[in-house]
Amino acid sequence: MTTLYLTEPGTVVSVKNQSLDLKRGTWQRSCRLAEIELVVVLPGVQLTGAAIALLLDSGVETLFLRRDGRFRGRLQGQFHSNPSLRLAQYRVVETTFGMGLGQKLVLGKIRNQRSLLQRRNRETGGRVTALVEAVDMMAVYVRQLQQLDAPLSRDQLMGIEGICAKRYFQAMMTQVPASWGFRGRNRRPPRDPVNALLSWGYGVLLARVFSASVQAGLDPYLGFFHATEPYRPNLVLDVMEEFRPLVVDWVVWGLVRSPLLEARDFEPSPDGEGVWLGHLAKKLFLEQLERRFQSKLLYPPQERQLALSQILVEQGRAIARACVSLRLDEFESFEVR
Amino acid sequence: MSQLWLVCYDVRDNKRRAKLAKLLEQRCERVQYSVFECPLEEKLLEKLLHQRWLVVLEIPEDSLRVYPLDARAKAKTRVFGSPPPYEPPDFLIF
Repeated sequence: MTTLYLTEPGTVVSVKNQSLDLKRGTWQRSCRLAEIELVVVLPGVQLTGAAIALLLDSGVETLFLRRDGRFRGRLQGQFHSNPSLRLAQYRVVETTFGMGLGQKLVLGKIRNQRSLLQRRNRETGGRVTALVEAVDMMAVYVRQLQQLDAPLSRDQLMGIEGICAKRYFQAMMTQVPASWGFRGRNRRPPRDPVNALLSWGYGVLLARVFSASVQAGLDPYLGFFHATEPYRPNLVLDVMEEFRPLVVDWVVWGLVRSPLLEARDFEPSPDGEGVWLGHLAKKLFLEQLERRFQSKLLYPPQERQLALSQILVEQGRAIARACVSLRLDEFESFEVR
Repeated sequence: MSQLWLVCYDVRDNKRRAKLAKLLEQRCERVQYSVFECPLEEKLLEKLLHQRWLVVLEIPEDSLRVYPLDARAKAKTRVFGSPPPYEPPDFLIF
């Protein structure tokens, strides 16, 4: 099944014979709806009423992103929401069980960050002190999180997550060529090309995890670790934690070492404070992200190879099942070695 | 799991032919004027065949043939002057 990204402003999407008909100037292309699984729409693309109606009726997931890559929204047609599942989700918020779930997700994130560092550490033969130290330090926290009898408080957990993230990006800094000017993670707005890539990628990931959460029957706004802050899809932020390093960082660290992108592929944001991806950079980055989403990894709970995009959905379903059964061992964070 | 089918037809009447072609194009890749390659699950093929495609035709005046192309047949298919057997793309970025 195909993911369709519409990135070119000025594209008009209409419908012809059960296919999406894309037009821009003299360029024309048609895509059979039966083959499309997901449509991602960037600003400046126009969908006709007929196109929107067909997407809604056929249940093709359609996501809209902002210019800076943040999630704008999605088309929601008829959908099957299981009330007992939502009730179960509401019941575990602010409970020890909910914190236990949140803790597993954070553990997954830290382990995946660590395994990226470890990979680099092996490549450099353990000669980069920042890498070695970060790998060791994160191992201590991983062990601590695994051995706890009772879950930590939210503040404690946030503290650990923050320390690990800081060390992780500091260590990765040594692995990004100096020409990129990467001085650690910053955002809102991102102030250098690497941070622009990270932010944009997290936006795409958030959009996809959002739809995966809805597909799993969960309420995207009610989380466990990120809990109940208003106007924020807290559950989505929870579920995507372990996938940030696995999907986005993985691609970004690869891109900065390849000659694919260079400084002129980025542009200053309109307020002059941040850096945005240029048009070509968006397309190239999306292609790499999509390749990563399609790559197959072993998914231990089902003992088979699944595409990462499918693993997102399966992890959502596993969380939903755990909420219903109230058994923490029914959910394990997804980790790669 | 979806597999590839080769669909081809002989339809005498212009109107019926146009109608059938339009229906096939909703699901299949047109590879020659009256030859289509369809990535479909067998169950779905069965349904489309009997509920949509055959309904259009006058049989036996018209004929429709559907050949299965399993993975081996697909790999051994030889094509000249056009792209290899159809495979839906993983992603499209426009």
